[in-house]
Formats: sequence, structure tokens, C-alpha cells
Amino acid sequence: MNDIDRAFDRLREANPEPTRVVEDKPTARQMLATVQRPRTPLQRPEPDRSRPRRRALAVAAAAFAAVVFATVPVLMFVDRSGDEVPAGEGPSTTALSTTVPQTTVPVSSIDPETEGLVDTFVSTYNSGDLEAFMALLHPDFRRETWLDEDLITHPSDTLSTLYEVDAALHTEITLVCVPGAADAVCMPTRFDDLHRVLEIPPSEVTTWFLTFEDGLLRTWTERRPNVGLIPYDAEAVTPFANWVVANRPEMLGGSRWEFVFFSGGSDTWIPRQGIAAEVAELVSEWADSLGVTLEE
Amino acid sequence: MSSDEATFARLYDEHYDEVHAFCARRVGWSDADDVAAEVFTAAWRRIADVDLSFARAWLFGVARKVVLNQWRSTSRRGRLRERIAGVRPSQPEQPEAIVVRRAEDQDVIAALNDLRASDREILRLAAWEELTGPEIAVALNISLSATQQRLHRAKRRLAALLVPEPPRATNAAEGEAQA
Repeated sequence: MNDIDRAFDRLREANPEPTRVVEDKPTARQMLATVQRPRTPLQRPEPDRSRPRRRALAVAAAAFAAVVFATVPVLMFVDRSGDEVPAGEGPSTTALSTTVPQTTVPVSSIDPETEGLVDTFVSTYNSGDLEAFMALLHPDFRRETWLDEDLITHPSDTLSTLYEVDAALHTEITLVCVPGAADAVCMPTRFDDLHRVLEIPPSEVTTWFLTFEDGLLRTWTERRPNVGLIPYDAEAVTPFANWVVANRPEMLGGSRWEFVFFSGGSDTWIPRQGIAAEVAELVSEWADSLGVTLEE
Repeated sequence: MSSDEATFARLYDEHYDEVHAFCARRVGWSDADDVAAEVFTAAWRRIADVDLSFARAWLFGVARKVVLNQWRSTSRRGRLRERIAGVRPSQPEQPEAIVVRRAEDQDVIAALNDLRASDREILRLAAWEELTGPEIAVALNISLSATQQRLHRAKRRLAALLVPEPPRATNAAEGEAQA
């Protein structure tokens, strides 16, 4: 037996949690009963007139920062949900065992109503259903990004175009939110086929400020070190764009791709307009060239 | 019971304990129930996609994603709080908690934690989940040849971390040899 086999055998023997029969597990039928709850259809809720209208988010950047920095640390450490994880809680150990330290994070939550709206926003976004997604937006919805000290509002057709590409890339967003200057101040990640091909984790370069009104998304304001509305991770889109430039340069014509600069100094092309299906095909070709199979 | 439900029940009965152990190894026994439930919820939603000849590997692939999401969510909540508060994280993100049951296993677990994430994952799937090469390919959604290459590379790196450096000759010994 050589060193490589010996090392692997030692790892096999070090299995920290050998498979054992789990007592008191739910039956398959019980499990099915919990996952087959009827899904609530997406619909516009009736406006709640008794609730005071939330203040608009269109405030200056300085006010934004001041409010966030002044209020959030206080709110964050108030246990409003009762689900704070006690420090030191973790897997039980035996007398012989030692445990690699586990980071424990006190949890503070946004209010349940907002949490439900955020959940609906995320699940609808991830569904890839453009019509359902657009139905979540308030009639006065605004998608905003900061450019230096100016707040730029993007038209909703830009949003729908970007969303179509996101759907074609099977994009999944996740949000972790805390209370703050907006109804929810969130750290988003996007995980799409570009990440899947490269097997890299999503990056966390931006912060979203979301406000809701009448149960619909009213403002979606973004803080990121990019100029404009670029949803892609530079680490994920750049290798793909480089492949397109090298192998399908004809695709870049006609203003359908946009040359953009990221704050780290890198630049690349990103898909822009009406080419969702073509982008999906290109990603599939790119994946094939790297020997990666993407799930249908 | 529909055929989908029957398929699900079979998957659940045959593999729940293994999936639970997979989760327990990564998130600890106390959270494994919840994570395993999430895995089977995802499995039910995608029951039509399951290739029954690789069901176990497919479930581990789902479990892997659920566990990754849980880690991301937990660590991100902390980082978001720090970002808003304007402070830097006080310590680097830890690898997953691994309970080391035997003192003599500590160095192999430490070596595992020193490897990069993709090496760790493929080694665990092979050593602890006891997946075959084709099953690992399904769980990681990569080709069989890529699986074999990566597994071999990861084993080699693990061995390199565990094998002690050969003892260096002392000056006296060198002197004797020269004499």
C-alpha cells in the first residue's frame, strides 16, 4: 500500500459521523404531507389602509448611510425573533473528542410581514417566470443604482430584459436581510450557470435596499462598486465573455452585448438585449468545451 | 399512492439514514434533521428528474447544495451585519465543524481542512459517503474522467500533507558519512 492509499484509508477511518439508523424519523408519508401544502397563488393583496405609508427611499446618500449606521447596530442586537443561537451550541461531543470551532451567529430578523414579501420576491425571481416577476412590482416601482452622488432610475423594460437573461442562465438569488433604513437591507448573491460551469461560489459585492408598498415591491436600490445596472459577478462573467470573444466574436455585434468595466479594474462584455436564448446556447457550448455538463 | 409518491417513499426509506449522516457530518447532528428534511423536500419537487439507478448519488448532490446554502446563509448574515456596522470580520470563515471522535484522527481532519474546498468535497464523498466514481460524477455533476482526475489529485494532496518530511541528516551524521 502506498502513501496515497494509506492517507485515504486513514481519512475513511476518521469518518466523524458513521451512518446509523435515525430513530423517530418521520415516515415518508408524513414528510410528503409537509411538502404538499397547497401553494398560495401569487396575487396582489388588498391595500392595508390602516398601516401608515412607509416613507419613500429617495433620500440622499448621506442620509441613507447615516440612518443605516445609526440604527442598524441597535436593531441587530435586539432579539426580536427569539431565535438567537446561543454561543457555543453545536454538535455534542464525547470525552475523547475535540471540535473545530463553529462560528455562531446571533440572528435578528426583519418583521414577519416583510420577510414574507422578501420570500415571495426571491422565489418568484428564481422561478424564471417573467410575467409573475413583473406582477410583483408596484405601479410606481423604481429600480435604482447610485452613480457617485446621483441616484439613477432604470426603466422597467431594462429590468425585464435583464431578467430574461437571468432566467435563461437559471439564476438563483438568495437574500440575507436585516432591518435598516429600508424595509429590508439585504446581502444578495446570484448563482447562475456561469458559476455552475466554473464551480465557483457567488460573490457578495452589493447591498440591496428594498421597500414594499401595498404588498408589492416599491423600490429596489442597489449599492455596488459598479457603475450602472450590471447584475453579473465579474469572476463568473469574465471567463465566459473571454470564451465568446475568442470563439464567437460575431455574437458581439449589433449592440446586443455591452462592454463594461468593473471596479476592480477588469473589463468585459456582458449580454444586454434580447439575446436570452442565444446566451443560454453559448453557455452550453462553453460548458461543453470545458467538459462540464449543465443540468437541464 | 401515485407512482411519484411511491418512488419518493422508496427513496426516502432506502436513503434517509445515509442522507441524515451526510448532513450530520457537515452541520452537526442537532441540525441534521432540518437539513435532511430540506433535502427530501427538494427531492420531492424534482422527483421526475431522478435517475433511480443513481438515486443515492443524486440525493447527495441535492444534499450538498442544501448544506452549501445553509453555510452561506449563516455566514452571510454575520458578514452583512459587519458590513453595515462598518467593521471587518473578526476572524476568517471557518471550515465546517467536524467532530473529531478520536485523538489520532486529528491530523487527518486537520489535513482535510487544509485542502481546498473542491478537494475536500470529493474526498468526503469517496471516503465517508462511499460513493463510486460514477456516483461522484452524478453528485458533483461532472464527467467521470474529471471525477477520476480530481479524486486522484485530491488523494495525492492529502497524502502530501500527512506524510512527514524525511528526516534531515545532522551535521554530525553528514560528517560521519563523509568520513
